[in-house]
Amino acid sequence: MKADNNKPLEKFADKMMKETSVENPSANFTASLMVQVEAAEISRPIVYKPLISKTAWVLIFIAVAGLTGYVITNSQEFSLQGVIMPDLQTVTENMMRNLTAYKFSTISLYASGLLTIMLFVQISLLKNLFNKR
Amino acid sequence: MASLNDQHYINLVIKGDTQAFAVLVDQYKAMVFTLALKMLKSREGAEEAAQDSFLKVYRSLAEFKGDARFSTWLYKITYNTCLDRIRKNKKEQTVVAIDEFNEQQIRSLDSSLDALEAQERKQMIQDCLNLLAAEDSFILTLFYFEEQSIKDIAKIMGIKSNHVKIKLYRSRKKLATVLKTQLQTEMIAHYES
Repeated sequence: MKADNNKPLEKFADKMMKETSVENPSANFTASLMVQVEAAEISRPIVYKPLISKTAWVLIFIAVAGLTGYVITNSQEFSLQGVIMPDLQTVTENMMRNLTAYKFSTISLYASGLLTIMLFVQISLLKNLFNKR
Repeated sequence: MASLNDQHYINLVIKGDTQAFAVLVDQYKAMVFTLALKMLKSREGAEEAAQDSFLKVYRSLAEFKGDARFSTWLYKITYNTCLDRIRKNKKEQTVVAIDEFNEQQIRSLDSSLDALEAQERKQMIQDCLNLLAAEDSFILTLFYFEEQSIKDIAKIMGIKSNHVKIKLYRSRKKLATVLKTQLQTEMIAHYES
């Protein structure tokens, strides 16, 4: 039914629109626009510039390769174990014990809950504010 | 062909030949102005919006990559500029109800329209287009005057092709609804005088 009605309506709209024509702006449109164009500047597109330049990458590569080479050739003389690298196993164990033993007080729980609610309220308020701008 | 020519003038402008931009302006000003006029409904506003759109296009001409037609890009900027103006002015947009029409009703509308004098008929259609909401008259203008494809219209308005088809169908219906009301008002005025 809808499709049947579509065709005559389309034809009718076609006929109506044929009767209208494109409108022309005022005679000095181009002239007054060109005055503004002369004053304006073409903005250059933003060219992507990498955060770390090629020379920096080369330097980093040389440094890493040099250090690796140094470590491989001199590995017999000293060990880094325990000097810069602490025992990871004990560190994680300590951390887990401390974390599980920690208890939050009811007040801090309520406070953080309330803070989260306020955060959500703020989000909608800020969204409204920016929309209005 | 037109797009090849456009690219030639765009290149000239980017190279520093500002006057080459006037060629592009002259080629598209009527359509840009018409689109703006259909959306904003006032000649002064439309002229300002059209100039604004061309100026925006000029400023970002170097960013035009040529993967879409220049006209599509220009009309998209025009559409957004007009939407911004409507939003800023907070002008009340007319809301047109959509009436259902059967074939016979359309035929009777058609013959009533035919009964009018050519000049009168033109004016009547123009008035009807002016009574439509900005988006409706924009989409009709783009489709009929510029013969843009559904795909291009979708790009210009930033919506999906299917959505364009639905909007086009609704706009046609709204146009017929407005025409019906206008014709009725005209008839009543005719009998009263």
